[in-house]
Order: sequence, then structure tokens, then C-alpha cells
Amino acid sequence: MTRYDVVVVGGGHNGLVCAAYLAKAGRSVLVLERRHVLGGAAVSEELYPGFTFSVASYVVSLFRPHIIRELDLARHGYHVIPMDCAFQPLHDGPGLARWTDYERTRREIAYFSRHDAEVYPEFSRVMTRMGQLAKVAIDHPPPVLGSLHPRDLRTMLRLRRAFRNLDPELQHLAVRLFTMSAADFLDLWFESPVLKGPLSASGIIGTFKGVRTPGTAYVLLHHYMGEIDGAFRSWGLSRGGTGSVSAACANAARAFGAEIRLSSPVAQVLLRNGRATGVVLDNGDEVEAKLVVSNLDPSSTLFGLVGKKHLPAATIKALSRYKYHGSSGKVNLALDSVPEFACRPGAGDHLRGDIAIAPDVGYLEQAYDEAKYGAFSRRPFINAVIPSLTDPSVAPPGKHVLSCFVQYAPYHLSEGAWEEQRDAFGDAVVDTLSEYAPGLREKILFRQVLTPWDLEQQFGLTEGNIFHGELSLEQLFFQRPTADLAHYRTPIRNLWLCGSGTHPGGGIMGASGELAAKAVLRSRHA
Amino acid sequence: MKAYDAIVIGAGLNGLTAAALLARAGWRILVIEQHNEVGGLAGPGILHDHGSLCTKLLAGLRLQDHGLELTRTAAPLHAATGAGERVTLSAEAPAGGLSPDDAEGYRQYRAVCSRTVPLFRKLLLRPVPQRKADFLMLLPCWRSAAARELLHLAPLSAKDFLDQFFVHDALKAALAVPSLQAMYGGPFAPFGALAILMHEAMRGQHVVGGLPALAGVLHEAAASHGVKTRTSTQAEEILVSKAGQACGVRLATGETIATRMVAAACSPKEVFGSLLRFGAQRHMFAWRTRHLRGRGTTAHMVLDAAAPALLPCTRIAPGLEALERSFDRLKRGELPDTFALEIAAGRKAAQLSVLAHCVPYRPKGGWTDAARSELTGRVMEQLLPHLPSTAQVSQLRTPADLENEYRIPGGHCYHLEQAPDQLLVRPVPNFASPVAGLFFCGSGAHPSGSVTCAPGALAARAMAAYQKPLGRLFRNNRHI
Repeated sequence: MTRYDVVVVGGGHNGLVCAAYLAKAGRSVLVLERRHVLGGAAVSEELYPGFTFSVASYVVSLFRPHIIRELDLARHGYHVIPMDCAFQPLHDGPGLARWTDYERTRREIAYFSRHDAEVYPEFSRVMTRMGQLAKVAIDHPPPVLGSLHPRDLRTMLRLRRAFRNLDPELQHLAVRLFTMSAADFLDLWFESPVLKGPLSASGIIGTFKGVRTPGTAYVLLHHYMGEIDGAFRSWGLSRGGTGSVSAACANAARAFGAEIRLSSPVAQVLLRNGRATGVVLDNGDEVEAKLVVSNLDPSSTLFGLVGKKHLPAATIKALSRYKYHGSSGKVNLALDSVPEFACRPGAGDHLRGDIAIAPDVGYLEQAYDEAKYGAFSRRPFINAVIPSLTDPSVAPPGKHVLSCFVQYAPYHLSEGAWEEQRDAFGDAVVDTLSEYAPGLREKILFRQVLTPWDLEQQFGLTEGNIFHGELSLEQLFFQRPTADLAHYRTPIRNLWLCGSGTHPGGGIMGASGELAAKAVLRSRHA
Repeated sequence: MKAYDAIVIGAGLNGLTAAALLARAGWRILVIEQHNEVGGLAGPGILHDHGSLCTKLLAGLRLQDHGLELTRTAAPLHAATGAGERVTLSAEAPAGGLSPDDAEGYRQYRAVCSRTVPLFRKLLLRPVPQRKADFLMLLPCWRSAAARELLHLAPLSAKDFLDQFFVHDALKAALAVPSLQAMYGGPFAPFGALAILMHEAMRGQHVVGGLPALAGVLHEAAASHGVKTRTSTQAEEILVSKAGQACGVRLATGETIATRMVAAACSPKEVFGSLLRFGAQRHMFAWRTRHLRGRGTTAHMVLDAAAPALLPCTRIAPGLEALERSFDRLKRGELPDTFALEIAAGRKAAQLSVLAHCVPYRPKGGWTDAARSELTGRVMEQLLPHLPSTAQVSQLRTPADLENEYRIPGGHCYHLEQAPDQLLVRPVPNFASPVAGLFFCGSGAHPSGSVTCAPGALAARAMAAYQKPLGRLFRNNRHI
């Protein structure tokens, strides 16, 4: 029986990136994936004949360009089509579409507020500048707080340099940005509620927080960190669904010599003398390895695969307080024809980007207020894309795929269970969309509703949190997931974490996998 | 007539502190106050935290000689947990009336507080670090375990923080009250723990006679050092010379008083909004200050009632979720059904002073007589189980009233919300403004948080340093 250098548990995009980097460094690597498809939450599946769905994660934005370069992903099939537009349908008026083209955007915004149209380019410029600061943070492992190790000092100095590069006025703003609420931050700039709605919505995606909740403003930065120039280009759709991003990572890993096994659920991590020495599969097979790297979220890894009895009390305490708070669901629709929005009829370019149902800040706050007591929002925030308009390969000719990200859907319901409420939730989403796009209901050929509970069942996301843990300040950077797990290591020797629950986490970035692989390679035991 | 060295606008506790400390250093000081008595919000008892005075910063004033009396220990806090039921929390004695779980929780809560509070005080009760040397001096702090704990706890919501320790909902709600007063957010909003810990960090000895007594003592101390006070005098404009230096104050009567420096103890929003005229403010700075947030959610009531059943320092709050629901209604401009109430002894014997949190600044339709009586009615309903039936409200100040009466735009008791983004940089780092010689010394300046008198004391230091021959060379103006 072969003994691998590294076993990666879970074939999500981070696990595959991690495996690729380790294989590239010459380690023998085995990736074990529980499901029959690779990709974790970044997966494409044909749920209805002829229609390919990006089942969970649906847009690609932040995949680190240096990873694409270093792993040569473009050659392995990585192809992202930038989205040109962000469209916001409204009940009255023509709706608001923001384009990559500034002049076009300015005209659209000026319809609602002349002042906002003037300020908007300045806002984008400031955000892009501050995005560069955040980029320094996400491209490097977090420093150990108070450590005097040269590596940590270098990280601190790098951050300091990036910070000092900002103008004094921007430094002031950057300090405030990290703890402000998205709505308060946008109030600094804009007056039109129509513009603040969709902009603030990008601060809450995947978190169980409202637009008025402190700590949501910095998430706005994520929209300005893309490497492609312009403000909106940074969001794109992967050709063939997000699964092809994972497939590209998998091809790269295989090309470097990694082995990937599907339908191989791992039951537990093998421990000998408190060290991880391999894994046991559900069917009883044992795989031995020098190191085990887990792409699962921290709780599933440590409480699930290892077990509490092997962990120090401090880790158990800290990790049990780690917040997941799944808050979002997904509704995937196969449509007979293009949905038409009443405020801007026709299947124009405005439908090729993302479509947000976030008419104003009050609407989003109301949706959050309903959810905080344990009920899904009756009028939720919806972020929808129609990938089949830009990538015809995902649906039969003339037919379309509508992929809706929906918030809020709390994992813990105060009444009833998700299994009973799934359809009501799906109806709420379709009803909300139909208010803006009449006739949508009649076009639906197939509907898949994924509640947080389904996300947990299907993808192993604890409490259905799409980011492997809430992106709140006390769980970020050198505290993600907890202070003592923040450096990809666990208290179990030779067991490492590489999932989205580690720094920087969230979104299809690949950064967690890359940084984990590099941390592993730096350690003595690799 | 020779110009004053400094004019202090507003004779609140912080204004008096700054005036007294500067006068003690030999400055000629004039304090102008729009009301006919000194004390600001502390005068009529609108502020309740009389246990958070920063005695160390005020040591030079020898307040004891002017009649300041402090109790030995921090005053215990009572939380009403049901009709007639009450638990007592004090730092020393183990809690009375608590279930064993909550008693153990309270012990742990105190332990967390005592671990983090020294560091917190150290960070707050000094000017904001800005220079390299300041950061290096703070380096040992960041290496401590307390810093790690503080960084982990501070971003939590009041609910997440208190859930770690307690079971009893009304008890948690009572402890969450400081976060409701300080921030614009319910108990589910992040950074509630920061406000609670800040409140705990400032808690100390308790002033006998409450804050009105403290105002009197400070006023006497200031007068003994030669501070002149003009009450019933309204400042209309801070005069700025062509060179950009604050050079005087124009009063509402049209009279102008020349001075070399101005210390504004009033709300920074008022300074930027009306006292400084356009042209004195630079573009970016004006933009930033226009958006300082100070949305008040606290109303003050005076109750005529001898209420033996209701001890001073009692908090009555319905529970965390109920408070969050109240806050939801507040956000929408509706009047909630239940409030978080804080009760203290009133100025007269048979009076109680009540603070109600979660009151909208301006409900839909405005503060009509109907809305006001609706508010008092709902508060009384909540108080009823604890009060004799003869009790009645004799005075009500809504946040909008505080705004008008004390010129605090937004009506927030601490002038600005204690949101984390408004803490260390409130309203500008280190008290100085872009107008040379204009300083902030009120509750809206660093560090704020309960009634500490620290903003006044720290601002006085900053002003004194500025006046030293080399002070201007070394003053840090990077924020402008």
C-alpha cells in the first residue's frame, strides 16, 4: 500500500489549489472527494437535461491572478467572462444599470441624482485605492499578533507600507471603513437610495448581517479588488459554470502529478501518538500519509474527523464559539425563454451582468430584521445571473438558466424545519422576482431550491455558511477561524487546514489553498 | 482689554475640567454657558453614570478640598428581573439573587473585565497614538494576552458576548444597556461588547450626591483658580483670523470676545455645523465632519415618586430579543412598546430620574403631544410593577429636546455615537482641529464613554502642549 506525502480531504477549489501547489513542489498528493463531482461549492451539475447549473457558487471575482499564473490555469481550462453590467430593476422608472463604461453609468445614475453621478467616479477611485490595501492583506498569510518573528514583522511592515501609501485623508477613511456599516459608509458619498441599495448589498453577501450592521463596509472593497481594470469587470462568469474553475484546478493538480479520487468520503483522521498519520474512508479503507490537509470547514475537520476527545480544551472552547450563522440560500431555475423585466423590457445587455433585487437600504434592512428572529425574508435580497446569455453552452438554444442567490435564510428557523419550508422559500423568491419580471413563473421549466440546510447536507457546509464561517471582524485575519488555528495549523500535529474557514476565506479566491500549501511547505515536517 | 488665553464653550463637566486645569496652569480662562446653571447634561441629571470619574487625570485639581466625596467602592447595580424581583450585581460581593449558573457566569464576566480593563484604560486614557514613538510604546500592550482577548471580544454583539456568561434574559438585557446608550444599534449589533467593556473599564468610585454635585465641585475648583464663567450666554460663532487661527467668539448678543484659543466643549457637530462659518473649513475635512454620526436614542424623564421599592442604579429591560425588536421599530421611526430603563435618584428627595433607551430621535409625525404622552404612558406601564401608583412623570426630554436644549445635533448624550469608527478618531484625532487654536474638549472628543471628565483633562494637556514654544513645531497635523 502506498504512503502519500499529503492527503487532501475534500476536493473543493481550495483543496485542489492546495494539492496543485504541493504536487508542484514534488510531493506525492492524493485528493479525496466525497461526492461524485469535484469542486465543493464551486461545482457545475446538469440537474435538468440540457441545462448546466452553477449549483452553489455562481460568480467568479477574486481568483488570485498569481495563482492562475503559477498553476497555468488558463491552459487547463480556466476561462472567465467578465460581466459588463450590474442591473437593478425597480417598480417605477427604468431601473438602474451600472456599466463598465463610466460615462454610461454616469448617465444612468444622473437620472436619479445628479450629485451621485458626479461623486461616483471619485468613489470608485477611492475604493480601488483602498482595495489595494486589502489585497496586500489577502495575498499573504496573517501575522501572528505581537510576534517578533522576521516573517511576521515583514508582513506587518508590508501592511504598514501599503497603508502609508494612501493619502492622509484616505488613511483616515480606511481606518473607519473596517468597522463601519455599509449603509453608513455609502451615506458619506451618496444621496440616492436607489444607488445605495445595490451598492450596500455587496457588503452583506454570505453574512448574517444587515446593511446597517457595523463591519459590513469593508466587504464592499471586495468589489474593487479585481485585477482587470475598471470597477465592474472584476466580476465574471466562468465558462461552463463555476465547476470549470474547479476542473481547471484539478487538471493543474493532475498535471503536476496529484491523484484525485471521487466518491471517497473520509470518515476520520488517523491519529497515532497525537499526530495525524492518514485517513480512514467510510468503507474502512485506510490511506497513510505524512500530512493531512483538510479542505473542510474547521468544525467539520476538528470535531468531525478528529473528535473532541483528542483536542485541547482551549481549542474546543474557541471553536465552539466560532460562528457559522448560515444566512443564504440558492434558487436555480431553468427557463423556457429570457425573463423580461417590466422596467426595461427586452433581452438587452443589462441582463448579461448580475441583477440585484435591492431597491433601497430600507428594503435590505427589513429583510434582515425578519431573518434575525429565525424566519426567512418574505421579500429577500436576490442577486441573480443569467449565465446562458453570455455562455450559450450551459443551456439548450433559446432556453436559459437563472441562478438566484437569496438572502436572508437563517439556518436556525424559529418555527418548523427547512424541509417543510423549502417550497415556501422558493415561492417567496419567485414571487419577489415576478414583481419585477411579470410572467416569470410561466417560463419555469425546472426549479431547484437550496436552503442553508440543503447546503449543509449537500456540500457539507456547516450551518450552510457559504464561507465556512461568518466573515465578522473577530473571525478574520489573524483570528480566522480562531486565534490559535489562524496559521493553517491545528493542535493535531501534521493536520492542516486549507478551506475557506482560514485566512483570507470567502469567495472563489483560491488564496486559502495557496497560502496553506505554502505554510505546509515551510514547515519542518513536509 | 487683554484677550483671554482661552475661551471654553459650554460649562459641562468636560468644559469645567478643561477650564480648571488650564487656569491652574496660569491661563486666563472664560467659560461661556448658554444655560443659567453650569453642569451641561449633568446639571439636571440626564447622565447617570456617576461611577466613572477618572480621578487620576483630575488629581491636580484637589477636588476633595472643594467638597468632592467618593464612596469607597463601585456602586452595585440592580437589575429588575421580574415584577418585584431583583438581582444585585457588585464587583465585590458575590451577586445576590442570582441562580447558581448566573452567579458563576457573573464571576467569569468579572474575570474577563478585570483582565481586559487595565489595557483598555491604558489605551483610552491617553492621547491617540499617532507618532512612531507612540506605537512603539504600545507594542508591549499588543503582545499581551489581554490584547488578544480584547481584540476577540470587542467586535462581538452584546448578545454574543453576554450569552457566553449568562442564562437569565432580563439580566443579560440589563447588562447590555450601556451598549444601547453608546451606540446606534440593538443588542444584536456587532461591537456591543466594545461598549459594555468600555463602560466597565471606566467604572470606579462613585460620586456622593451624583453628577449635579460633581458639577458644583468642578465649578468651585475652576473658580478658585480664577476661571470666569458667564452663564446665560450663547456663543454664535467662533471667529477665525485670516491666517486660519481661532481668535475670538461672537456671542448671540453681537458682542465679540477676543481670545488666543478656543476649547469647544459642545458637540463637534454643532461646531462644524453652525459655530464655524463656511470658508474656515477645508473641503475634505468639511465632508468628513458633515457625516459624523450622533443619532440619539435616549429620552430622560423625571418622576415624582417616593419609590422605596426601586433603588437607584436599577436597570429594567425586557430581554435581549425584545430590545432588538424595539430597536427595529426605532429604526423605522416608530415608538417601541418596551424600552431599556435606567433609574437613578433625582435631584430632589421624592424624585426619580429615568433614562429610557430605544426611543426614536424623531418618530414619524414628529414629537406631538400625543406622541409624548404615548411615550410616557408606555414607560410608566413598564415601570408600574415597581412603583407606587401615585407616581407620575413631571418632565420629559426626548432626544429631539436634548438637541434643542443643549445644542447637540442628533441628541446623543455622548455627542457622537461610540461606533468603533468614531472612537479613536473622534471627532478628529487628538483634540486639535484644522483651525489652529481650536480644540475639542467635550464628550465628542476622545475618549468619551460615560462621564469620565477625561476628554476635558486630555484636551487641556493637548492645549498646554500646543502653547509651549516648540509645541507648534511638533504638533501632529497629519489628519488635516
